[in-house]
Amino acid sequence: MKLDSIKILISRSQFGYLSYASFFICILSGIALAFTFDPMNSYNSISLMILLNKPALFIRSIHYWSAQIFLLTSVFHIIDHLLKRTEKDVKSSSWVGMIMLIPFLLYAMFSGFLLKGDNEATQGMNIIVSVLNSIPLIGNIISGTMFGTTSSLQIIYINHIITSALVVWLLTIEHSKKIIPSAKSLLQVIPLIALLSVILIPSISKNISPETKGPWYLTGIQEIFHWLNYPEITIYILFLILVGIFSVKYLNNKASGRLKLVLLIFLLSYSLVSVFALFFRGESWKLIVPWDDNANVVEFLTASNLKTPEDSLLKRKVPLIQGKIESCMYCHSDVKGLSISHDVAAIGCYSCHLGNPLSLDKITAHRGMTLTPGNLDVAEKTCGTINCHPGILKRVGKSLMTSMSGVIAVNKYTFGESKTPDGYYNIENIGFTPAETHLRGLCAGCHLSNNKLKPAPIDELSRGGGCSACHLNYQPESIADLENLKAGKKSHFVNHPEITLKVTDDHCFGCHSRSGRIATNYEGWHETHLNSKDVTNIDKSKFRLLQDGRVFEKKNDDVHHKAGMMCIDCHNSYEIMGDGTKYSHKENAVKIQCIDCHTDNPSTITKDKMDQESQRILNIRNKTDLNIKYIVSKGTGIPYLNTIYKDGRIITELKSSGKQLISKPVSTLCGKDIQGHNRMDCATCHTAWAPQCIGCHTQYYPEMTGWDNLTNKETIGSWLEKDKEFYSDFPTLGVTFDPKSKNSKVTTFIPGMVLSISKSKNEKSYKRLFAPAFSHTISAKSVPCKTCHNNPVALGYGRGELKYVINNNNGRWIFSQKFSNFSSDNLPEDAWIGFLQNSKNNNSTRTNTRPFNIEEQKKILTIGSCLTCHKENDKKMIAVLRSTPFTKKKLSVKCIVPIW
Amino acid sequence: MELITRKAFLKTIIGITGSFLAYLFYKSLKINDHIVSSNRVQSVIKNDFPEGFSFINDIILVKKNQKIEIFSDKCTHLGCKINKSSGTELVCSCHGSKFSDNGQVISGPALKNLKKISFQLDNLRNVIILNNEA
Repeated sequence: MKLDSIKILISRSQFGYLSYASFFICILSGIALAFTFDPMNSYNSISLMILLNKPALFIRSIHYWSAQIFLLTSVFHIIDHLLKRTEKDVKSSSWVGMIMLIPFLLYAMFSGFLLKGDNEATQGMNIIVSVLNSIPLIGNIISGTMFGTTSSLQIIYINHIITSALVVWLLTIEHSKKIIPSAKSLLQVIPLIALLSVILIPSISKNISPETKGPWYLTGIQEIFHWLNYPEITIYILFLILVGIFSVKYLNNKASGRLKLVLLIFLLSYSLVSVFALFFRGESWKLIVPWDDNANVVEFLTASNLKTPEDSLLKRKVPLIQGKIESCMYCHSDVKGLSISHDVAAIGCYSCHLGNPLSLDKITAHRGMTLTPGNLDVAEKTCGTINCHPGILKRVGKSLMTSMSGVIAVNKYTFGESKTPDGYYNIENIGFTPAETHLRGLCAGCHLSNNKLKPAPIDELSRGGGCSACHLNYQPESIADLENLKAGKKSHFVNHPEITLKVTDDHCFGCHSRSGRIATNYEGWHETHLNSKDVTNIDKSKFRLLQDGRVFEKKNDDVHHKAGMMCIDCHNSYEIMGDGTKYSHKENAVKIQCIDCHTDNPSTITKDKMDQESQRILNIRNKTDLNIKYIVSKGTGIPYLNTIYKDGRIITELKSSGKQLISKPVSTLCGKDIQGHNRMDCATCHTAWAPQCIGCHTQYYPEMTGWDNLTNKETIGSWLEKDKEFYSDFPTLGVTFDPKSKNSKVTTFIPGMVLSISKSKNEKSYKRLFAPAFSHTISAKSVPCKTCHNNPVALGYGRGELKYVINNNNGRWIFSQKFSNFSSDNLPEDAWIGFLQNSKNNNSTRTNTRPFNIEEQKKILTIGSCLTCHKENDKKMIAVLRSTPFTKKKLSVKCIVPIW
Repeated sequence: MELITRKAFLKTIIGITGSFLAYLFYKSLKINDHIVSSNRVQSVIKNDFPEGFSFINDIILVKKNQKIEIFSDKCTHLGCKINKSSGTELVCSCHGSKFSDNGQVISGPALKNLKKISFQLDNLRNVIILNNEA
């Protein structure tokens, strides 16, 4: 007896009863659901069910599962009938009704999917309207009647709860001859629906994923659409299938059997395609495997979501975030410290920190969240989403602070791995050649795509962190919160670090205190060979111990630093975050020039004529006056947003303090009108000093444990660097050629890569490359003439004594070098060129830069010879130098010019 | 002898009334559709976009070497909203059509290029004026 019952239970003939019972439950749950579901605000309505209204959530789950089982059992029921050939026994009118049931059933299902109101539903709506509209003549009418417009769910809702439900019910009653399903079939199907409704609760998509998937029964069509250039064909195919099913009743047995076989094969094929599309299609239509971490196959909530929330939560009123409910707000709405544009009341938590915004369970809500949303590997989903800063993110991706292109290019050239020191590289793409492992070991931490691993305030050891590297500022309260969280004294972070435009010099210091050391130079600190033990009782006015153990001694700081200017008072967003162009070297990316502010004839722009980014920045700074004339860079047209032109004066308002500074125009005493000086960069006369490192050697130790700064992992094999001397002298001068303007200019250089390399015991090399460098040690007063004309370091000869000797009315320059010649190229260790020699191959970290050639050296030293007798402010000498052309005839008979 | 039977008369009246109601229904759909499609959220936008793609409401603005082109964000395949770019390509999340940054189809299923939206540049006010019918 029992066996018979089981047989009946699983008998094929039961599908019809089960189908009707499921539909009946679906109708009842739908009626119950209608009391809490708001079709005009469907997304939030379902969000509320998920978060707080657990009875409604369970009813929705029942509604969903009863509908899915109704669909499945209906399909099985149709197959069952076709296999049994019962269609011949059915009346024609009933047969037509049954065929009519199929499109209405599909409509009821799909309209239910659209009523979710989430991203997937919106895209689904666009698709169905587009497909139906493609039907000639009647397409628009069908689409308008069944789905209305894409901007409202009103018509779909009416058709879902009334039209389709009524038609399906009437046709089912007509087919089954029963108004209410049997108690037996209800008892059979209820446990299954209840079980599924508890363990797999349907959710909604969070409207951020670029992956769009239709309901499971339509993923096959979605996949077919991918391959089909003319998707309207699908409508005709579906119509043909209906005609096919309809025809089986009227064909003879043989033809009917064949047609059924075709339909069965089609159904099986469609099922396979659906499974493939459901499990193996990922974001941006890429192929995935369902067990991949990033796979987001079907999202269901678990039974724990049915737990009744605490009463206190039900009473809590939380703000809607961008018009949507966000569960984070139930616990974190008290977070403060953020500026208006990033305030939690405006953008919530989820848009930055991800996680699950539709859960009030702590573990579930926090699953998948990031504590460091500024990191570039997640920024596409956080800071860089299309509603926030997508353009900036793309620029940052190409910027030098992310790519490190110049560092890589020069390093590879130094190691002999590339033919030029130019070209574009990205640190993320480097491999494991000797130059690349050298970068990984010593340099590759200083780039924006280096991930910040945990929340922490910026300090001297900070590296990378993407957007947070510059825009995150910890206030004392947020540091206290962080410490309390670490110590377990607090479970809740209230004082959020500020996300701000106030990028302090400390943000820049970590990376820019290395290599050219512009951060330390600017503040007037020069690196020494002392170590922390040498300065136990450190005199902080003379020495500074950095967190990395390096000791710096005090030198003159930059005149702009003395005035209180920070890095961002000069450097704008298009320099720091890039302008979208892939530059090889830093000087190509820099937009500003000294003469933009130090002039009496500035270029200006008003706010309303500026680019959007500049206007936004001014808005954030509450600068609303449209009549203010902002200074604009003459070279690039990019405005200085803190510098204005008013009453004939250029006034810079410091971004940190609001203090106003007046820029002085270039002095009339500036010697630009002296021959040869017109091509000199301002820095050549106004640089006080530049850090110079002599005699660096780097060696590879294959057995030693090292650290890969790119992957932040230990490695076997390590590069070690040894340096000899640090100097803080006036820099070397050289020539930069601008291929665009065909002009050349004299500018400042420091030893860039003067390096002996031991790749292995037998593989050694040597490179002597000087690099163009703006030291950031500008002084208001220009250096004395002798600093260039009588200085062997400035001329590129290295340190030593440069002496003008006169014998028998013949003058001759003599140079006694301090450092001995290096065997590899027979030049003094600190030299760029030999005394009165041409450089053989420029020895520079750029293809467009070079040391002075012999002719230029002779001209400089000729003036240097004058300075051995005349004071630099000698009017007679200056008058002669200013006269053009400068010839020996104009000189006094007492003057003895050098012979070469 | 009756000119027309009562049943036939009723059928005719119902037929005429039904047809008239169907006509009104059809017209109401058309008018509603027209109102919604012409209701663009923003037709004047500030001309200050960065290089590359910018997604604004229902349009995609492409700036390349300072030159601007504007396209509808509706995929020409089945009308899905395109809201993602990958490098210099736009990818439709629904069925994987790819478009170049000048709106041309790189790979299907879409066959037609993205719909170009005509616009005028107002250099005086530094704004872009979109044509409403787009």
